Amino acid sequence: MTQPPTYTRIDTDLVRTMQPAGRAYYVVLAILAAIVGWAGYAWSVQIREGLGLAGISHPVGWGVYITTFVFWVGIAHSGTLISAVLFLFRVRWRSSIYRTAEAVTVFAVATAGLFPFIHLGRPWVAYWLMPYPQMGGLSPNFRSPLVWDVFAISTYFTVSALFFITGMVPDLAIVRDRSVGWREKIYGLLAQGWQGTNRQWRHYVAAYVFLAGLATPLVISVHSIVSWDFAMSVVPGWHTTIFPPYFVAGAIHSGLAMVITILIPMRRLFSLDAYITQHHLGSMAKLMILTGMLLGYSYAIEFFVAWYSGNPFEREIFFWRAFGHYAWALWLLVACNVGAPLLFFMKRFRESTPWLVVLSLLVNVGMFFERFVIIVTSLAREFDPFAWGLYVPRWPEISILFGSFAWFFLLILIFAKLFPVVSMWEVKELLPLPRRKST
Amino acid sequence: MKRNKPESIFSGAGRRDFLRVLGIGSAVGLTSCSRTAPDALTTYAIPPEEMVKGHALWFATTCRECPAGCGVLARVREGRVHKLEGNPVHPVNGGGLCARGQAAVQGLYNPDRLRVPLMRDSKGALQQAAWPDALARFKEGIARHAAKKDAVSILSGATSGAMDEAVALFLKSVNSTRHLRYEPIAYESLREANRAAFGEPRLPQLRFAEAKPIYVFGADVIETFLSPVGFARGIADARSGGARMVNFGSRLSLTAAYADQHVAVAPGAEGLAAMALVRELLALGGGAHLTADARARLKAAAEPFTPQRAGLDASLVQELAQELKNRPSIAVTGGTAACDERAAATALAVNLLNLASGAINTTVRFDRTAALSNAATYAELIALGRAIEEGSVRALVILGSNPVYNAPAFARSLAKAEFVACLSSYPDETTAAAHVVLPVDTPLESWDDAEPWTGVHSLSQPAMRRLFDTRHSGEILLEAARAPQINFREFVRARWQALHKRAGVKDSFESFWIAALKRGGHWREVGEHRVTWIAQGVETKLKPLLEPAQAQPGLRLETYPSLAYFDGRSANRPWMQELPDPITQVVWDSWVELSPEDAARMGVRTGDRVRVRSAHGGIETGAYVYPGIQKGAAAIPLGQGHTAFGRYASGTGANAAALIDPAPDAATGGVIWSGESVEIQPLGAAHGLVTVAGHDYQEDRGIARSRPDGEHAESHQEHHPELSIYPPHEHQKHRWGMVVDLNACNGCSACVTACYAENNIPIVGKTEVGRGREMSWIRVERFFGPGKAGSSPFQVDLTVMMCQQCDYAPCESVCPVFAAYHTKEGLNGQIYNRCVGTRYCSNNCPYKVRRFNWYPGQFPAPLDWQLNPDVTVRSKGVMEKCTFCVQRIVQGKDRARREGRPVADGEIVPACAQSCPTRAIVFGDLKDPSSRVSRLSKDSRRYRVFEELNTRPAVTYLERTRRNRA
Repeated sequence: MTQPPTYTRIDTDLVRTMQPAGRAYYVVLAILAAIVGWAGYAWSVQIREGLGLAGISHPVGWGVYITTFVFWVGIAHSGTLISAVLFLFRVRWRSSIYRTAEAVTVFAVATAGLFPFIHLGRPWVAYWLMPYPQMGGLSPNFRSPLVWDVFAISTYFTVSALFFITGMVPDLAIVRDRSVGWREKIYGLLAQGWQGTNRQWRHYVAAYVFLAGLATPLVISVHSIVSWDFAMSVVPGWHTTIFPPYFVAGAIHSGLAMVITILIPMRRLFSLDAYITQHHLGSMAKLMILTGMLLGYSYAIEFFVAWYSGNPFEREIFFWRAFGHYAWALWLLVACNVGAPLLFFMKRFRESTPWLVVLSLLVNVGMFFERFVIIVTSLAREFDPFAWGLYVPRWPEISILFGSFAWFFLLILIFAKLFPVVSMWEVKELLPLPRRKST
Repeated sequence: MKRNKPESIFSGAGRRDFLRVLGIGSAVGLTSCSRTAPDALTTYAIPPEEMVKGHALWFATTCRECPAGCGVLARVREGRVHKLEGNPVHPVNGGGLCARGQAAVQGLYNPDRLRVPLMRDSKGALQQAAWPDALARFKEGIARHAAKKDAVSILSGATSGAMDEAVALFLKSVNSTRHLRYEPIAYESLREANRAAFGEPRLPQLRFAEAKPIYVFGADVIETFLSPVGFARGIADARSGGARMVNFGSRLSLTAAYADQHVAVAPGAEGLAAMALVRELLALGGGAHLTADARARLKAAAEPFTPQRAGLDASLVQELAQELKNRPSIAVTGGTAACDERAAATALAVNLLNLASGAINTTVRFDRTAALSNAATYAELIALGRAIEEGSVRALVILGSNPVYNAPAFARSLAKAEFVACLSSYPDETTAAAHVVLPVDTPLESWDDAEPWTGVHSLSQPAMRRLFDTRHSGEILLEAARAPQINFREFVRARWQALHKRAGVKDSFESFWIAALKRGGHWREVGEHRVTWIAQGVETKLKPLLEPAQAQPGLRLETYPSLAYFDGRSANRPWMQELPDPITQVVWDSWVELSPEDAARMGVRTGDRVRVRSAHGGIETGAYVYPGIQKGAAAIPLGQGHTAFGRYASGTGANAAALIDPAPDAATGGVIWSGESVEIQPLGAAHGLVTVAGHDYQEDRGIARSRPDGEHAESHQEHHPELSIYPPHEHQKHRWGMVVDLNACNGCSACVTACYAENNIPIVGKTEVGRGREMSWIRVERFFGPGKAGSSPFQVDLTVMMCQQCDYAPCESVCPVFAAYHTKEGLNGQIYNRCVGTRYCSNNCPYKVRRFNWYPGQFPAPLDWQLNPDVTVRSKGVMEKCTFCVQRIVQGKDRARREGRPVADGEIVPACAQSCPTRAIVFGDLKDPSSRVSRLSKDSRRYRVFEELNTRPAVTYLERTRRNRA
């Protein structure tokens, strides 16, 4: 920051993002809502007619729905990483981006959470997966990774939502103070009576550290558990010990890419260049080099172990992944997830906004196909060759996939107008302390 | 006089199931006599005395799906038949029942059944009519031509017994003798060869079980030949006794796949192979039982037939001939070899082989001959057509036969008939050409009897009230003939009174009759009938074999009756459409099999649409590249390509009959189903052939194992106690298990259809099968092999795959709601109404035997009446699977408990095991060390599929041994 802004300037700049929106905003909002509506229609038809409308079949019982589920759970990781982990490590560049990252987390989990329902054969009895008191003594099966999933995802959602709301409290107070009428009342409610007293700050910071500490293990646990959906099975290509760290690295990779994808247009639209600088984006790009290389290592190890184990089933799956029907998807994802981020080694790419957008979009695409390849190619070519088969997604899956993106961006857009997208109080912390001029 | 014991006419083996059926039969006698049930089919407010709600009644009757005449027991619940099972005491099939037989209930409940009579109106369109009008029109149409001798003709299938007599009475009343028993597959060449060799134009009994080597020359013994269920049983018995089975043919059929060895010969060269064996056998000193003169004649006749001429290795011929010496053997031809242009000579060659080996009068016996021996030849059908065209036959009554579909040449003649009446249960191509169509009862609603083999009097009785306003075809004929007795039950009884007198039993007629009804018929002994060889002119008759095959411009067509559709008559049964052909695994379609060489030359790949043209017509169908067919041959199954045979048979494949020479074979009078030269023209588009085989090779994964005889399996790895954080399952009373003997399993797929019938499995149609959504709980897995693609010699390995009921089941632990759970008796239970449909269990099942309901199952009325009331009909969105027929296990345990005894071994039989013609599937309690399943699961041939995954399946397979060395 060449000209350090003042506290007031920060407040003004950042609350400005919440000014009434222009026409373009509502047009985009309407388009997104229409796509969400279409996806909802697709789901309703699927419920009415049967899951057969989707392309999933036998032997590939999981397809785009579970791929999309894992994709969004992955996206959700960046938020907690940036806000909690980097907070605990006192990484200063996180301050101006963590609010958006957290929003990405909460909305991505909210999106991901829909997919276990969407993919169920009988979504109307989905509550049977919860351990609720029941006269017949029926309980969910705690040996099933799907039940672990229920807990992992709901815990993650609860904690990240709490963290998100808690982190906003001082900022909401600022917004409250600048609002009138019913808005003031609502923001007042959300600000929970924040006055900014010394005592409040003391408790607040302690609580914030505590929540960050609570959220940090979740970064590891959630995606580890999601990976166990696969790793705990007997399916060759799934049944491997590398999955938890591999999935966590992948999740952070995709999360960072998504945060960059969202921050760049947001910075442009709200003129936040002073707060979200090339330095922030560059730092995330550097982190992506690390996660991309972790992924590259994981991919290589998967293939190596498949060969080294001598297990014919594993060998077949991985050989087929690389050279079979879906080989294009594998090479696409390797290029996107491992190849593309390597360009960030060069400052030219790291500091160029268009390149950042292109490369992070590529990583998003690559991470989607990574999950697709893991899920589909393993199921398509399991133990019994007679039962091998292929999978082609059909219209409800495509509709709901795009619907999930529309739903996510719809939430982001609404968030951007209703809440401060950059943390005011933490950005202020970065400023040199205001002092009286000494004589 | 030496008596021919009739217990089983093919194997002579004792009946283990006899006691079981006695228990079943007791209800039969009572119910079968009381035909006073209310007319409307409703739930019983006041049930008939013998009916207990929830308990099945069993009726012994006869399967009429093909001319074999197997005995069946129809299971009836609340007045509705919903399952057929083979009658264990019936001499034809001995307890097994094929897939087509299982599907007979879908004939009864077929939604396309004719429900009202149809009459042609003034504009020539068929319109619905009332019974009195239609009957009047029928009688009037016949009466108009009755004055002239032989102007009325009846065309039926291969009838025998009461229907035959009714037809005769009817014809007599209209001053005619023209009864044509038309069967599209009538084995004219075999009959002709038997006449030429032995003076007996009949089809002899083949006692496979007593044969040591069994040599098959192109006959589809396991699929459709004469009496496939009985033959399959006999062959399996022979093989378990160490018999070697060798197939000679141009196509690796299911029978060939089952044989220990398939000797590929050029198309049409089967007869040369048989004669080469005769020559070698005599050279080795065989044929000692023949008179010196006959032996010399035979030797002279066989002299030109060197192994080279047949394209066979001399050492192989010597080895196979050696095996024939001094051993009971059997050689059989049929299928494509018995219906090409040199079929008479081929069949004669096989007769001579049986003669030289001493099989004639021992394993091949003419004391009992098949009812099909009476069937008309194709030449007679063509002659009838000519008579119609000439006007000497004016009126034709067709009884449940479909010549318009099977014999296009006859269809053209039929159009010229003045009056055509069809007595049929279904609309088909022939009823579409009729003037009056009278809807008649299906066999499961009818009284009748049949004599499929001499002395085997098989009774048919209605297992339920008729479903629609239909009549018995026999009663229509008797009424038209003004017979004194038109009630067909009484008509049959009257015949049986004569039989009773002839049988000379001490019992009264009533007890004889009731015993026959319970048993399913009356089997009488027959005197021995020996035949002697007529050597005269043998060289001339064999001559066609020596003529070089005519150079054909195209490929040599081979058509064969399909395992599922037979000659086309089963094509309207949806189970049959959805049943994958065991070799190609194609469903809902027809196809043309091409050798990889020919396909590569033409640039055709599996699934491409091709036009097949012969000099007589053309069809379009899908190509199937099959390494098991000889270069230069193109094989097409019969039975598809219907145009008016109901919803399930329409739009499925093409009718190969269009390619066939309309003229009969001069030598035999048969159809030349094979040998036509055809051109294959790729149409450059996909045909949409749907096959359920995900992959053709087992990639050395040991799923369907086979091993040459004498090679010992490496020592079986037993489970080491492995650490688990969970306690092992305790199976306190029972642990149900199964053994599948791959030496016996021939891939006939009867188990698949039996499972559909028992467990209310819906069909899903071609498109959905193409998406991998077929619902079958048990499937026949066919692998080309051995091992990987391109390995040689080419062979086909078959196995059945159903839920393995693992002890450490991967499906159970991943179910989030305990819908998949482990029962106390070791089953992998599935609680349908608890299932939420995550499909995780299916993903995690290494055997891929769980099936998901992607849509609600469709059972269009009245097919829903077939549903088994003991089994839930699953809703959409839930997973379903095999549970070893848990409903039968529960019933068996209940019965044992009521009777205060433990469950007896063999008392509980799942539907698949019950139906299996060869008893390849054995079910029982693994906790009982003396049970058959326990003993067999310790056999040295045992293996479990994917044992290395530590799933501990309850299904043990017994590896197949191929005796392809002497």
